[in-house]
Amino acid sequence: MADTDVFDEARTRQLAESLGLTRLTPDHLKQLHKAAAVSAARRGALDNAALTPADEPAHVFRLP
Amino acid sequence: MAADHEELAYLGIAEAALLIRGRKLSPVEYAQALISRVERHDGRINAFLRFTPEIALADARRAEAEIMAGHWRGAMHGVPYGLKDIVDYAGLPTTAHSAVLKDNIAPSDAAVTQKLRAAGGVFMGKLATHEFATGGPSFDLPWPPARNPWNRDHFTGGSSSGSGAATAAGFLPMAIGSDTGGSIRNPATLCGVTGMKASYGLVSRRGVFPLAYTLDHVGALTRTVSDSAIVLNLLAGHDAADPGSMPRPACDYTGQIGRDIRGLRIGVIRHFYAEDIVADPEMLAAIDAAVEVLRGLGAQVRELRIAPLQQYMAVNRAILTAEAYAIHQQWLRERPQDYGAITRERFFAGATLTAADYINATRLRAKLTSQFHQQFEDIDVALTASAHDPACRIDDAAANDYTYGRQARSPFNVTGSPAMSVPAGFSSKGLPLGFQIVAAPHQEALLFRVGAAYEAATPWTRRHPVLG
Repeated sequence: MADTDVFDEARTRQLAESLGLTRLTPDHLKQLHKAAAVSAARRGALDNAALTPADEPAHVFRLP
Repeated sequence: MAADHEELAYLGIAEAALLIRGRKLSPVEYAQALISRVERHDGRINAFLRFTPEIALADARRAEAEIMAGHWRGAMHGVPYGLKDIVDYAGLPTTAHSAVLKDNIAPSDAAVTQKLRAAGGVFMGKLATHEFATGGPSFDLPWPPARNPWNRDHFTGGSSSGSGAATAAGFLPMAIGSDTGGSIRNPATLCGVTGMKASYGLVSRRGVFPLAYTLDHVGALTRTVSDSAIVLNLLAGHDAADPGSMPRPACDYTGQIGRDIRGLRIGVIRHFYAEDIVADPEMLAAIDAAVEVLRGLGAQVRELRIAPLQQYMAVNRAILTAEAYAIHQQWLRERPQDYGAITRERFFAGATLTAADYINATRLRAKLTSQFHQQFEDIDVALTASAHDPACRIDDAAANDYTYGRQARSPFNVTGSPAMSVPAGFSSKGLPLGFQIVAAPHQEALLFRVGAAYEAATPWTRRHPVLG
């Protein structure tokens, strides 16, 4: 995440536009930048190494 | 009617029901006493977002007429309650404490509202919440945040902030809240009341604005464990209109209250609050002291080691933010300025999670849930922290940010387990402390038995804040 640690408004606006978030103010963009870092940290905190291909999601499709 | 206003303010549901049924307490006088208390004090607490004394008095008059005619409907008949403002009450706005929904009028009652109305409850109003049950305490919303009745400079906990404040302040004996990562149990702990979420699917979520579909629970904040059980008797039940609702045989959740706990096996998940995230020393000492009280009552206590707290929290946060973003995506695109800053930033965190992140989080959820439920072969209930810290100052954004993730509640949204926060004393600054009891799925009656035994052995629920 080193390259995203520093806020770059143009780059964050590009990210926002790719997400359909086209009406964000500069303050909102700073929030999105911070949130993206939080999101990356959360992704990193998931213990995915513990999963095997057979581990299914908690909620699976079931016929009624 | 002999009781004065202060006594009525802290009357429990069980006591009120006895008096009302015996015609020793008029529902109208009871409602009037609480209305005047709210009018006197809520300007400084902000528990109510929409106070409805006219509806309360109409409900109370109806209840009184029915009871005088010999038609007592049950424990909630003539008893006041409030709803977190994400819960629909037909004809009134459900705002979720947000400018986004400020003009949103509920077309019909939520399932829990229907049940409370059918039980003859007295509706006092809609209660403050953190915006969309997540972003708070916030000062940039159309309504102010609720404040802690024990010290108005401090946070209530959230997101069922008004529900916690109103119950602790003696405005209501019961308030409905919701809990996705601990939002019933957090304000219960920080406001010194009892907050309980039942097994996932036991209480219908229909008509309650969602935060995260697979983690959301609806439940009550009360001042005592027995009142919590009384309310669950009313709220529990299958609802085909809630896809997560689970058919269960009828159960009297008060049935084990009063039984002793000798020989019950309690697993203390101490590493959650003494190693994984180290709790504030006063909170840690209060939880350890609660364990000793239960040991003294004859419980067999041992430490229980499960996956680290951070693993549960990572799963909870990934699922919560992904599901919440799916709900709010369109509004965040069209009107991002209508959200408070805290909420907007929390919801943005879901925008950059991938489908694989979400699916992996749910796969980990299945593993953690299965591992946790297996523990109940060797224990009857588990015990751990609820909040790791007493309430911080409401205006200290850094402290609110710091304490936000210091909690052990969200693991039990991941596992869907019944879990309850019980008061456990006070900090040196006079702020409430508490701990959490957790049971195997559908063992709510056992949870209430342990909580009630602890409550009866300690003085905490008999203390009330001085509102001044």
